[in-house]
Amino acid sequence: MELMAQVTSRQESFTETKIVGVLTRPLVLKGTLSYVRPDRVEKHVLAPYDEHVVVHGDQLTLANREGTKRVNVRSHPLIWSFVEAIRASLAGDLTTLGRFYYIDLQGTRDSWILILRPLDRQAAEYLSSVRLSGHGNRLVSVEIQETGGDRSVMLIQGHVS
Amino acid sequence: MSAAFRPALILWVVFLLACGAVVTRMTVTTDLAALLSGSAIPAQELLIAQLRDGVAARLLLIAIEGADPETLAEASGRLTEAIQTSNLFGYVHNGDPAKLKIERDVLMRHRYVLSSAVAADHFTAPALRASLERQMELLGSPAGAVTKALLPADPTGELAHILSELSMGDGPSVLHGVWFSRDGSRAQLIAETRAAGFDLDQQGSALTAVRKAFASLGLPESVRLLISGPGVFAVDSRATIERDSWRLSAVAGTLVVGLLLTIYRSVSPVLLSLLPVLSGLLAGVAAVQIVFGSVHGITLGFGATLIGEAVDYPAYLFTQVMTGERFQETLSRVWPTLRLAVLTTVFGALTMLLSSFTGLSQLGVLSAVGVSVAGLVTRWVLPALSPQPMKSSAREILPLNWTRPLADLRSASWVIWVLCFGAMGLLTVKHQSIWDHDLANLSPVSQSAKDLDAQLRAELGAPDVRYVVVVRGPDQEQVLTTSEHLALVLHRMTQDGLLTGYDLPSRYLPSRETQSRRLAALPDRAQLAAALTRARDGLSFRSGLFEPFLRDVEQARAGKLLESDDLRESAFSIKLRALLLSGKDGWIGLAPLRGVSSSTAVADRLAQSGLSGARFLDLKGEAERLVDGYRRESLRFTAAGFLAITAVLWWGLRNPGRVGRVLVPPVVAVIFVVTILTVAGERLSLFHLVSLLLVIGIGLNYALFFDRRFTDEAERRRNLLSLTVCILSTLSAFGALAFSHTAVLHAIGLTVSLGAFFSMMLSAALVQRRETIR
Repeated sequence: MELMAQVTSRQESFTETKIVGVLTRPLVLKGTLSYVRPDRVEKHVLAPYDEHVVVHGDQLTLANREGTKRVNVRSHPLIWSFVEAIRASLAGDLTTLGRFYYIDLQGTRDSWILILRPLDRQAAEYLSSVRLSGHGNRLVSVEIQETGGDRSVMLIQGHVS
Repeated sequence: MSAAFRPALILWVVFLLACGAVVTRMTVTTDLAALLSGSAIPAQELLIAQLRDGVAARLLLIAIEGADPETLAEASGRLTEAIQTSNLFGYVHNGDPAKLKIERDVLMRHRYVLSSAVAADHFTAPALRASLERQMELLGSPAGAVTKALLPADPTGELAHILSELSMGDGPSVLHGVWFSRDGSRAQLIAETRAAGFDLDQQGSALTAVRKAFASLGLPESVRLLISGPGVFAVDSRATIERDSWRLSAVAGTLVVGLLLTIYRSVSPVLLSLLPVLSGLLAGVAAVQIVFGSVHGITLGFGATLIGEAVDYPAYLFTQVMTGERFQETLSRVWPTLRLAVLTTVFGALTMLLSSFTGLSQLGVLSAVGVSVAGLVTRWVLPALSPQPMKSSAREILPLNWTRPLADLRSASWVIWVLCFGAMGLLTVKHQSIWDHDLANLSPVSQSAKDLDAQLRAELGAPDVRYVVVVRGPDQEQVLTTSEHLALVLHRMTQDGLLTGYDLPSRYLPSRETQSRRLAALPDRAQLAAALTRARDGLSFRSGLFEPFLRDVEQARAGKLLESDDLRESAFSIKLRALLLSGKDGWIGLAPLRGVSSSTAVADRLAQSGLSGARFLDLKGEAERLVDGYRRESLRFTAAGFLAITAVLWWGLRNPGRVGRVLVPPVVAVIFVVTILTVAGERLSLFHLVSLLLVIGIGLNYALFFDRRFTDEAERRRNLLSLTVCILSTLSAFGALAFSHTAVLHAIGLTVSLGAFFSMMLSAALVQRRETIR
C-alpha cells in the first residue's frame, strides 16, 4: 500500500463488465480512469455512451448528455463507501479504508489482493465485497460483488498515452 | 369618618370587588401576532394569519451538538422516536432515509398523476424506446443501484422526474444517515406540533416533551440540545416578560416605597399612596379584559407605567398638607391643578383607543381607566380613609431650593432654545434613521436566539422566505390551476436568471383537471404491452421484467385522483398545508421564490404574464409597511392626543399664555429624548412613541405644578417637595424598567426616565415663578 501512496497522479484505460440481473447480457463500459493526489478521481466512460464522473473532495459530479448533477458524497453513505473503496485504495490510504471496511490484504508487494467488506449495516445490506488486485503500485482490477447477486468487474489496462 | 365621604368609600369597595371578579377570570395572551389584529390590506392580513397559526408557526427546529458525529447520529434517531411517543407532534423527522421511504412511497404510488412528463405521446413505442435506452445507461452509472430497484415498475422514470422537480436547491446535508449541519457538528431534526402556534400553553408542553425526551436518552454531559422556532420564541418571550415584569415591578415598588417612607416618616401615608395606583391598575386591567376579551402581556407590562404616573397623585396631596390640616382642606387648594393633570393624561390616552394596533388600543383603555380611577380615588377615597388632621408634615430630603438655580437660569433660557433648535436640526438630518421598520424588533426575542434560528434554518435548506407569489381563487381547484400556469411563468424567469428556484402548491397536489388529463393519457394494458414489446426489441432486458409497470399503469387508470389527505403521513403534507390555505373568502396559494435577483423585474414579468389572481409580494417589505402603517397611525393619534391635551388645558387654565408656557417643557423634553436616543443609535419603535405620550403626560404635571401661584413661601416649598417626590419616584420606577432585558420594557423605561428628567429641569427653568406672593 505504501507503494500506492507514492503515486501522485495516473491515468489509465479500463473495461468494466457489469452483470446485472435485470439484463440478459452483461453491460460493458470502456473509458479512462484517472487519479490526482490527494482526492480527485475521474471516471470517463467513452463507450457505449459518454459519461463523466468526477469525485473531488466531497463533491461527486455526474455529467452526461442530460446535463450535470452534483451530489455531496457524505450525504449518501452507500455512494461514499463506493467512492472510498476506489479513491482510498488509489491513495494507499488504509486509515480511510478502515473507516468503511473490514480489510483483508493478501499476497506480496508485487502481487496483492485487497478484500473489503462493509462495516456499515446499511451498506452491507447492498454490498457484499469489493476485491481489488494489483501489481506493485499498479491497480489492476476492481471487482464489486453485490448482495443481490449482481457483479461488476473493472479491468485496468494500463497507461493512456 | 366624614359622612360626606362615606358613599364614595362604599362605592369604591364595591367597584374594586367587581374589578377583582373580572380580573380573576382574565385571559392573558402573549403572542406578538395578537397585537397586530385587523389590517385592512389582504397581504398584511395573510402575513398576520401566517404568523398566528400557519404551519410555519408550528415547526420546531431541533439540533444536538457536543459529541462525535456517530454519537449524535445515534442520539438523533433515539430522540426522534422518543419525541414521537409524546403524541404532541404530528410529524417528526431527522432525515433518516428509512423514514423518507414514506415520501418515496407516496410519490411512487401517485406518480402518474404527479409527473408532468405524463402525456399522450409519453407511452408510444418510440418514446418508451428512448426511456429504456436511458435506463440502460443509468444501470451502468453510479445511480445504477437505485435504477435497478425501480426499473421493473417505473421504466419511464416518473419517480426520478418528480424528484428532480421537487428537489429544492441544496437539501440538508446528511451524515450517518441523518440530517447534519454542513460542518458535521450538529445533528438536526424538525418537528411539527399538533397544537397551533398561538396556543402557548400547548407549545410549552411540546417544548417540555422534547427536553424530557432528550434528558431520558442518558447522553454524556457535553451533549447539548438546541431548539428554535416560533413556538420557542413565543414561550420564551412570555417567560422573559413575566420574569422581567415581576422582578422589575418588585424593584420599582421597593424603591418607590422606600422613598415614600423616607419622606413621610410614617407607614400610613405610604400605604395610602399605593391605593390609587393599585385601584387604577385593577380597574384598568378589568376594563381591558371586558373590552377586548383578553389582556396582552405587553399591556400588563405597561401597567408598571401607571405606578410612575399615579403614584404622583397622592404625593401632590400628602406633601402639601400643612401640620394640623385635614386632607379635605388640602384638596381644596391642590385639586384644581391635580384635576387638570389627571384629565390631560386621560385625554392623551383616549386617542390611543382608536388605534388599529391592538396593543396600543389596549394600552389606551388601561391608561385612561387606570388614571381616571387613580385620580378619583385620590380625590374621594383618600380623605375618607384618613379624615384626621396630619400630625407631622413630610420631611424634606433634598435641599428644598434645588431647583432655584434653575429658575435663576431663566435669563439664559436662550441656551435651551439653541439646544432645542440644534436638536431639531439634527433630527431633520437624521430623519431616515429615527424609526425602526423591522417587525421582528417589536418582539422581545434576543438576537442570539434569532441567530440560532437563522443558522438552523439555513442548514435545513429552509431559510426564511422573503419573496412570495400569492395566488387567490374562489376554490382550491382554481388556485391549483393558477399555480400550474404560474409554474410556466416562473420556469421562464428561472431560465432568464431572475430567480434560482421556487416552490408551488401544484407540485404536491396538481389540479383535478391536470390529474384527469394525465390519467386520460395512460394507454390501456393491451396497447401499452404492445408498445413496450416493440420498444424493448433488441435491448437485453429480461422477459417479464416490466410486469409491475403494466400492472401499475392499469391500476392508475382505474384509480382515484390524488387528494391532500393522501399525503397525510408524509412531509409533503406539511409543505402543502404551508403553501395552500383556505382563507376567509376563498383559497390562497403561496409560491415562495428563492434567489430573486431583482424584485421589480420579477414583479413586472408577473404583471406582464397576465396571470389573474397572482400577486408578487415582498414579505419583509410588507411587514415593514405594516409597522410603518401602525406608526404613522400612532403619530396621528399622538398628534390628536396632543390637541386633546391642549384643549383640556385651555378649559382648565383659560389663558393662552399659560397653556403655551406649560406645554413647552414636555414638548422640548420629547425633542431632547428623541435626539439622544437617535444619536445613541437606538431606533424608535411604537413603544417609544407610546412612552413619549406618557412623557408629555408626566411632564405636563410638573409644569402645571410649577405654574401654580402661591400665597407664601411655605406653600412654595411644599409644592417643590411634591415635585421632588414625583420626579424621584418616576425615576425609580422607570429607571428600573430601563434595565430590563425585554426590548419593549427597556424602551419604555429609558424613554420615560429621560423624558421625566428633562421635563422637570425644563419646567424648573422655564415655568417656575421666582416671586412668591402676588
